[in-house]
Parts: sequence; C-alpha cells; structure tokens
Amino acid sequence: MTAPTSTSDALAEEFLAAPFGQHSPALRRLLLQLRSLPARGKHVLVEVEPFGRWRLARLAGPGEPVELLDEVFTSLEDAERHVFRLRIALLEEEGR
Amino acid sequence: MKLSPDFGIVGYTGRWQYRPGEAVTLHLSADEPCEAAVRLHRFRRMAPADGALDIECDPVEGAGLTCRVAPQQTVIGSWFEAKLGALDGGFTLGLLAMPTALSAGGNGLAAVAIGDVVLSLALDGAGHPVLAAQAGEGDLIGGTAPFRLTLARWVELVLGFDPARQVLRLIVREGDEVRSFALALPSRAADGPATLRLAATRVGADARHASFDGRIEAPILWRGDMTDDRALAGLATHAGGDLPNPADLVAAWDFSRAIESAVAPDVGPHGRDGRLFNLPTRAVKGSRWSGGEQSWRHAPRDYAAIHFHRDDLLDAGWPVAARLELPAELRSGVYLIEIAGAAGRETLPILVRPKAPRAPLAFLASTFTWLAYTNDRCLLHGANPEMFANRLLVLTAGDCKLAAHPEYGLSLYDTHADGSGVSYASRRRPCLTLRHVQRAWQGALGSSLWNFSADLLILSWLEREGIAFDIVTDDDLDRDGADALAPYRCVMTGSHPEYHTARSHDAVGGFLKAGGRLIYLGGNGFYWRVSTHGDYPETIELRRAEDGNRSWASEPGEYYHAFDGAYGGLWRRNGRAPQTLVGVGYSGQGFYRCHPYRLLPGASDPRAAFLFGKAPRAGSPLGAFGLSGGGAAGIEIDRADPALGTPAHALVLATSDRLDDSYILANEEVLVNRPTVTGNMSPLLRCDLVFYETPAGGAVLSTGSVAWAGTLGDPRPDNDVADLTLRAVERFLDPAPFTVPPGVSA
Repeated sequence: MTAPTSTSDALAEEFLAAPFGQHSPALRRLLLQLRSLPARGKHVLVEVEPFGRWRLARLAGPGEPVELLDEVFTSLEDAERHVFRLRIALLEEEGR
Repeated sequence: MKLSPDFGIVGYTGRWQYRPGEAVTLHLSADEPCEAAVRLHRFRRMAPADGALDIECDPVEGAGLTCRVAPQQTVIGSWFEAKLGALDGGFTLGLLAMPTALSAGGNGLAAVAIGDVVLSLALDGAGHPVLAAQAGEGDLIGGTAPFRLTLARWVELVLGFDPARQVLRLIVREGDEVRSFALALPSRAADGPATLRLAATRVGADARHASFDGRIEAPILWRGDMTDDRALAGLATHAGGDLPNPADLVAAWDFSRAIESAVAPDVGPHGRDGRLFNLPTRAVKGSRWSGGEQSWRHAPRDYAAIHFHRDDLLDAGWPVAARLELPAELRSGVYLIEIAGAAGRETLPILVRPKAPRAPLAFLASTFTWLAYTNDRCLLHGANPEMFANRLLVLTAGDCKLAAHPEYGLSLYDTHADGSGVSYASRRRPCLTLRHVQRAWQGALGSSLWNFSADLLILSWLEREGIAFDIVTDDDLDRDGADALAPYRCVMTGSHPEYHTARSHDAVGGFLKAGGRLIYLGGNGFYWRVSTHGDYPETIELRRAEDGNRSWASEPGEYYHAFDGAYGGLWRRNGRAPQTLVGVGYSGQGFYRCHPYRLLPGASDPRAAFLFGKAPRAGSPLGAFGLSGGGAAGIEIDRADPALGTPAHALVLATSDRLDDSYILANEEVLVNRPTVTGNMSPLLRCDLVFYETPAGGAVLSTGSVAWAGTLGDPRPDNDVADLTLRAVERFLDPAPFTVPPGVSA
C-alpha cells in the first residue's frame, strides 16, 4: 500500500472523535486506503454477544479458521478506534 | 438471540419448503456424537429490544423427536466416473487436459482401477506429472516425470498400461513437442471390474482425492497398450468429433453431448456412459473453441470440455439423521427446526406452504436469491468488502464456522480455488447464511439483517398487523408458472428478489397481465438470470456475463447456461430491464447508511391518494428511521426510468437522491467511467418509490429499496412507511379494479 500523503494527527483526531461521523474528504480517502488492505491477515470483529460484545480477530487464508485475538470491545466505536490505530501504525512502519 | 445456533451441531434439510403433513429430512452432523432433541417452532416476529433483537416463536406441539447425531464427512470436489467392465490385457487412455491451478497437496487427473489395483496420473504442486500404482491399501509405487505441464494450456495426454511388461507410461504432447515418462511396476496381477475416474484418483472424504482444478476433454480408452502415434492420432480423431476405429475401443466419452445433464455419453459401441459427481462446470470452452460461436448449442464441438474444481459441491451426502413429520394442519409461514444436544445447537429454517391457497395475500420468498448468497465467503477472503461497508466487518458464529469448513462449499459470489467464478449453487449442504439470526455487512449500520433475516422483518410486520398471508417461493413460480400466483389478489416480494429464472420472471409478469397486484418491497430485484437443473431441483446456475455489479466475470464465450442453454447475465441484457416488470430497476448501492425518501408532487396525484392518510406535501420526508441503516431508502436501490421501461403513466411518489458518498452508481449505467458516480453526484443514482395501474385492473407499488423492510419492521408508533405499506396492502386486496388513466397506452 502506498503511504497516504497526509496521515496527519488532525485526521486521526477527526476519526477517533467520531468513527461513524460525517468525515472530511481527506479522512474518507485515508479510510478507503486503510480498508482496502488485503484480506489475509486483515482485522475483523467476531461477534461474542450480538449487538453487545465483539472480539478482535484476523482473517486467515481460504479454508482456514479465523484467528481470534485477545481484545474484546463493548462498543463498535471503540473497536474502530483500536483497529484504526493499528493500521496507522502499520502504515507508518511501512513508510519508514 | 432466541434459538441462535452455535453450530456444535450443523445440518441441512432436504428442501427449503414443505407442505403440512410432509416429512422434513434432517441431515445432521455434530462435533461429537450425541443425542439431540428436535423441536419445531413457528416464527412469529422479531423486533428491536434493548439495543438488540428480540425474537418471538411459538412451539408447535406434537412435532418433535429425539435422534442420534454423529460427525459426518463431506466429499467436496467434482469428478467423472465410468464403469468399464473387465479390463485385462492393459489399456491406453487418451485425453486432453488444461490444469488451471496446482495445489501442493496433489492434483489427481485420472485413475484406472482394475480390481483393487489403482493406476493413476496426478500432478504435483509444481505441475510435474506423477504416475502411481497402488494395490489395495498396499504401498504406493510412484514416480515423478522430469517435466511440467503449463497452467492454462491444453495438452494431449496418453496413459498406457502394459501388464506383460508391468509398465505404466505417459505421453504428453503440447504443440509439436512430445515428452514421455514411464514407471516400472512390481509384478502384480490386476484383474476384476475396472473403473475410470477423471479429476480424481480415488474418491473419499479425503480432499486430496477429488482434487483437480482444470478442464478435461475427449477422454477415450482402448484395450491393450497402443503405440504412441496410434493413440495420439485416435485421440485427435475423437477430439475432432469423429469416432476412431472401434476395434479395441472400450469407450469414448463426448463432453459436448448432454451438456445440461450430469451424464457424459459414451459414443463408442458399448454405451459405457460416465457420471459426473458434484456438478463440475459444463458449457465451457474446449481446446477447439474458435470464437466463431458464443453458444454451445450453436457449436457443441467448441464446448467439448468440462471444468472440474476441487471445491465443487452438489450434495454433501450426509445421511438422514431424522425425519420430522409436520402436522397436517400447519399454517403457512416460516418455521424453525431446533436441534439441540450435548454437542450444541442448530436451528434450520423451513418454509411451509399451505395445502391449498388460503389467504388473498402471498409473500413471495426469494429462495433463488437466498440460495445465490448461501455460504457467501467474500467477507472471509478475496473481495475486500470493508471498503463497501465503511466499517469493520463483523463475523457471526455462522461466518466463523464457514471459515473453518471449506467443505460446506461456496456461494455464487465466490471464486473457486483456481480463480474461476462459481456458477452453480445447491441447497443440499449446510447453508449457514440461511439462519434467522444471520446478519451481514450488506445489511448496513444497525440491525445488519440481510436477505432471509431481513425478510423476516416483513413477516414480523404482517404478523403484527394481523394480515394473513401464504408463502409462495421462487421455486414454485419456476415449477408452476403464473398458476402459483393466480389464487392470490396481491403478491408481496421480499427485500431483495434479485435472482430469477425465465419461468419465475414470466410468472410475475403473467400474474400482472392477469390483473394481479404486486408490492415489490425491495431493491435490486429481477436483476440476474438463473436457471434450474432438470435433475437437481435444489440447484441453480448463474453466468456473470458482460455487465452488472459482479464479484467475478464469466469468461468470454461462456455466457450461456449449461442447464438450459439460456443466455445468462443481467435480465436487462436479456431485454428485460426490471423497469419493464416493476417500474423501477437497479441503480446503485451503498452498505453503510440509509436515507429517507422525499415526497414528490406525484404523491399528490389523486390516483395515489389511497396511500396517504393525510394530504402529502412535496418535499417532506418519508422513512427517516429504520433498523437497516437508519432510513427506508438504501443499501441496493432502484429508480424509475421510462427509457428502460417504466410505464409512461407511472407516478414517482417519492425519491431519495441525497445519498452519502458510500453509494456508487451501478456499473451497467457507466459507459465511460467518470468521477461523478458516487453520492449525490449522479442524477441516475437515486431510489424511487413508484405506483402505477395495469390494463387488467391490477397495480404495482415498487419501493426500490432493500432498506424498506428495515423501516417497515420498526414497530415504533407513527411509522409512515408502515402506514403507507398497510394502505397499499388494504387497497391491493380490495377487488375493485384499478384503472389506467385515460389517454395512456400502458
């Protein structure tokens, strides 16, 4: 993935304040990039309790079980924030 | 949620729909053997409660049993098999092959079993041919050729066995190059009845056996070990459509014949027809495809190949663990069969049709669409739907179970291991997405209910309103035509009646021509053409031909269905844009938020007055809330368009065109790609609510929105969408005829 031109703190702040908010064009562009990561190894949520609790997980390859991770969330917003931070960190690491 | 399956027990029913008094066959498997109690529940309704969904069901007394559930294996992967009789004195097998993917675990291409001796040809993970012999469970004698086959290239293969010299040999001709390889075998008499398998070496639950991805054409088998030249010449003659000298011929199978069936006819003198297992793809281009014709019916010789996949699945083949007798007096509706034991719980839905039509309203269950999406794995790999969803993907228990069980097969949205699209879908397997609790990213923010589970919101509303209904299915329309709908004054569709056969499409059209009233309560309806199989009624075929929103694309030259020769793809590309049937047709999609409609001046037309309790005011919102994305217009949306067939007198009552940027215009609308295909940038990207009368006294109300069901199913007071829908149902059930306005040629 090409590093976006503006992973500024301002965009991160905008997202973290309202993961499901009406986002600016620059943030929408960044989110599309982050959400276009390849499926293998991608973070997803696994429902623990419908509409109540979600566990972080990672997709494996075709025919392979989903890999469950430790983090559990009680709000989808918090899950979005967590994965956003993970992906931004990955992006910055790749950009280095 | 109530009756949620945890999939410690998994199963499927023999069919999806039954009549009262019939027995439901339950095919069940469990992680651990256990006793299980089977109970029947009538689904009543689901409604939001404390931020979740509450489900109400009524137990059906007198319908229950206990049974033993044991772990089952599933044989996945397609293959060909023919019985050959005795085959002493050796053999020569010729065939054309084109591998399309190589698995490190092995790729079984062909095997001849003589008694308990199996002589086989496979490819290793790098494409080297591997010859092998095995007697019973004895040691496998094998050898790997020092050359490789090339992916996606046709080659001629000859496999010869000379019992006198105990040699198994292989000839490979690719263009002008001929290569050979031989394997010396220990002396061992091979006698007894012989069987030929293609695309498999042995067959069993071990996935390594039916394991070939690729195409095979013109298999031919002779008695005795022939010279290379004679065998290659005979193979070429057979592949050209002529029968070589029948002397020594055991059988010659012509895959260009009986393409609609699971039979591969032997054109030789002995009638040793082969059988195809797990439905490999037919009507695919063969080695001689010229491009001169696009339909196998016009040039069968061009389509003399069969495409086998290691992940084809027609029938999981699990034994019947129990038969649940349905009471003779069971109301039409959705029923949930709960199977619970120490290993866990499964809940299988069935549809019960009435013995004879009872209610004047029919709910048309989208059984073809539900089947097309069955076991959709796009969220697990490949298609990257998170960018459509605009939020993290949430996997349900069913999604996780699917991820761990590739042997439950693929959906019509997935691609095979070799990258080719999945054209066939069958119900004779665990169908994990058909659960009342299943939700998906397509269902947008909120409830995320989708397809079958979203349609339960419509049934919940009917139940709450006390409106009697009978369930009719797409399959009924396909089988019985318009007769299946004739007893009803009004038909209501589900939220997403996307897939239809020619017969089910004709049935809806015939119903309207006869004066029927239709409430199309969904979006992206009547979009893809599918066909059913003459021998396998629980199976449909789809070709994702040259246009439309496609998760894969059919190969050029492969747009015609094998099942019936029909030209596949969009109904629009078959000259039946959805607007010609229901006044609106697919315009675009977004899977994040949904939006209200905005009333238009058309709503104030006196012809539409019956739909509104108070005088509608242009510009005021309709459906500004809902369980699917928070609005009544959204997810997959349709628009009126006279150029595509919306009747001239149709009233556009409301529209939703102020969409967010997650909405994207349908690509069949895009001739030259342009940056104005999202959100509110394209005038074509909108959701229209349409009403019109038909010449025979009937009428159509089309919502053009998958999300309508999510608003309809919201039990809040002052639900304007529910109010409008109720008024439509009441008027549509009234026998007083509708009249097309004067001066209009409808």
